[in-house]
Amino acid sequence: MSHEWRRAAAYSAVLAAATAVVVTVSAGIGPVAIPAGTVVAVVANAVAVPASVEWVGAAGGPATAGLPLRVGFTHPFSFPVSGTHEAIVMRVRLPRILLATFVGVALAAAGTVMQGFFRNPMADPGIIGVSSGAAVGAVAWIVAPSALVALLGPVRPLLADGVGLQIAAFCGALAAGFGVYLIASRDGRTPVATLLLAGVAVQTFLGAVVSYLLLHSGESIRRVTYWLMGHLSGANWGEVAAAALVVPPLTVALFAYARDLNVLLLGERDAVALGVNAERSKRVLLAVSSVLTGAAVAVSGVIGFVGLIVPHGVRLVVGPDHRVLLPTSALAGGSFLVAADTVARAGVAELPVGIVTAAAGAPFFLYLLRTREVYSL
Amino acid sequence: MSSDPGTGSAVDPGRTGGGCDGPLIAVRDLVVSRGGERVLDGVSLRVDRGELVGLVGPNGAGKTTLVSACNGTLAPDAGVIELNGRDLTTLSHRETARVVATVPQETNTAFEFSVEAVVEMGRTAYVSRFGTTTAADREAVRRAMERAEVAEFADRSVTTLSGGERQRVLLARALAAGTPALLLDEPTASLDINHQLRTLELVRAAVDGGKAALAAIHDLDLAARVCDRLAFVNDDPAVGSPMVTALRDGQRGRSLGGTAGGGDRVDADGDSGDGSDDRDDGGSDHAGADDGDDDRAGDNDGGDGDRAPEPDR
Repeated sequence: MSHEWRRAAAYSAVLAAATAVVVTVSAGIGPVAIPAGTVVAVVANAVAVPASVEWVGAAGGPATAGLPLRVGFTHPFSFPVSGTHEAIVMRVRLPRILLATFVGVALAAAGTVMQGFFRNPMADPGIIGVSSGAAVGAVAWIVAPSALVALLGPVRPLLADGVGLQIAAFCGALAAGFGVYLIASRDGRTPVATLLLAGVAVQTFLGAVVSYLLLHSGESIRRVTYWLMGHLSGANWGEVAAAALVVPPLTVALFAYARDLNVLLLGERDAVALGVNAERSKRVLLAVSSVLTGAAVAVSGVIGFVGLIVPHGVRLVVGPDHRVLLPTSALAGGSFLVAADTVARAGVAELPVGIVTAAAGAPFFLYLLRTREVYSL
Repeated sequence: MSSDPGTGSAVDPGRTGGGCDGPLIAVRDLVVSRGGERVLDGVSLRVDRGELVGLVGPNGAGKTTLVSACNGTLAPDAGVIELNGRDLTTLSHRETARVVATVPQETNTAFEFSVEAVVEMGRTAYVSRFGTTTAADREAVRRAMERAEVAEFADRSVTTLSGGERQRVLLARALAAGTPALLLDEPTASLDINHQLRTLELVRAAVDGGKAALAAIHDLDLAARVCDRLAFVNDDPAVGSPMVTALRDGQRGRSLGGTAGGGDRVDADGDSGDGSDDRDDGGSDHAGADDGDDDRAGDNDGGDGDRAPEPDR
């Protein structure tokens, strides 16, 4: 095992532990303060181990997930906790906290990739228009749902209630990202500079669309503004499950391209000469990080700064090697967003978390800039 | 280190494999356009094992273009490039990178990678996507750093290095790939004469160890000193294809030493040991040409001193 992977494993273990602590502490903070020990007990009580599988046949009986099987679960722990505490942690706080973790992981991982990809310290996950596309989708859904419902007509019955906004945002994100990619590509090549400029232009255009929709949003302007600021309120287990299906696998997929990303930092010609299929690696990196960003934005709105500042801060500590930087940055993004969201919901009036990430992240970043010598990415 | 001239083949036998007979790099009737203009028009060239061919010519004549075509970073309009007997167009980037390693003119070193990390990137073509570097990879990296004389600052960030040191790191990165052929794109363009000579001596040692090398070198004098043959790339349309000139063997031998004791198996230490002859010859051959010659001789001497303890490692 090489030196870099050992470093990555060590940093990741520390950060994973830190994330667990942040999650536990955060779950105890709120209008009802719950001791960390109780939080752990509640989570332990919820642990279910499949203990028995029973064939119930096609004849019927209570089936699990459509299969003619009945799975019996045992709960190995049963700590005495109050029902109120259990409900607060499991129904209200934990879904939101876990969603914050996944969104933070996704944004920080995608931001790390974009900064390396574009060799540009100001790159963020939305640099190729993904966030703007999601914003158009979501705002259009809020402002003119009837138009979009008509558009989605055939698939409408397949959608569970309340996920229309997320679907619209996700589709908008992918459409914008893919559009920018197509605009910037010619003859099978996608020059990074063209991609960057196309992304900026498309972001501007989509920004205009959002502004126009805002003008016509009437009653729903508050909701639109709130969404645009980025928030995690109202998170439910469904969203957590969706994020759990998308974020961890794609983040791990990015790790597989960490070495390519390192070599791409030296320039594309160097990368090709060293044996990297630069165009293919770029396509994979763009696609995966765009889907990650789109998924995160779809469930949480446009939460700024996480994808910009977390990779920077982590890079100052662990260095530019993506084999170390990507996993550490992803985990740090998770805990950072949980902490920021805790602040956002713990105050007198709940704030959109986007305000907190920007307000807390920017000064912290300036502090890092001033205390560490930073000459480059 | 000094006992085995062929770093690459010693570290991973078979990886450098392929047919032993033909030229390692063969270019036939190559036509390359850039920005709609024909830069190379009907160029033919071959580089054999144990041969250092210098690519000389005025700026803008297409030296870099030819090097870029040979490592697959630039697609030619017409003509054939064969690497170790295989058509370049049939090779993947990864396969190409296992035959030729490139020392670029410069690279983006704004990132705070350690020297060792940069040299390790030379092994990119051998490491699987989900795998990590193996003991063989690390050994190749270690030996390449020693050969290019950058081992002593393996842990330093590349951003802290001087131009000459950085160039040797890029050479180490190419050597770490363990390829049978090296391509060098003006590796000395931004260096002072002392570092130019030192870098090219290291290339010379690798070639004497069995590699083939094609090096674009701006300085004709320097090219004549280290190369076995020179290919002139001319931007004059009347001349067209490059004229490949074989230098007299003796001239190259005299300028960098190594012929006296049995020329075909000269390692880095042998070269630098004979370097004193080189300086004397250099002084007499080029005395009038460059006042800096004496400085170069002095600095070179210092360099030899640094390298003297190497066999003890």
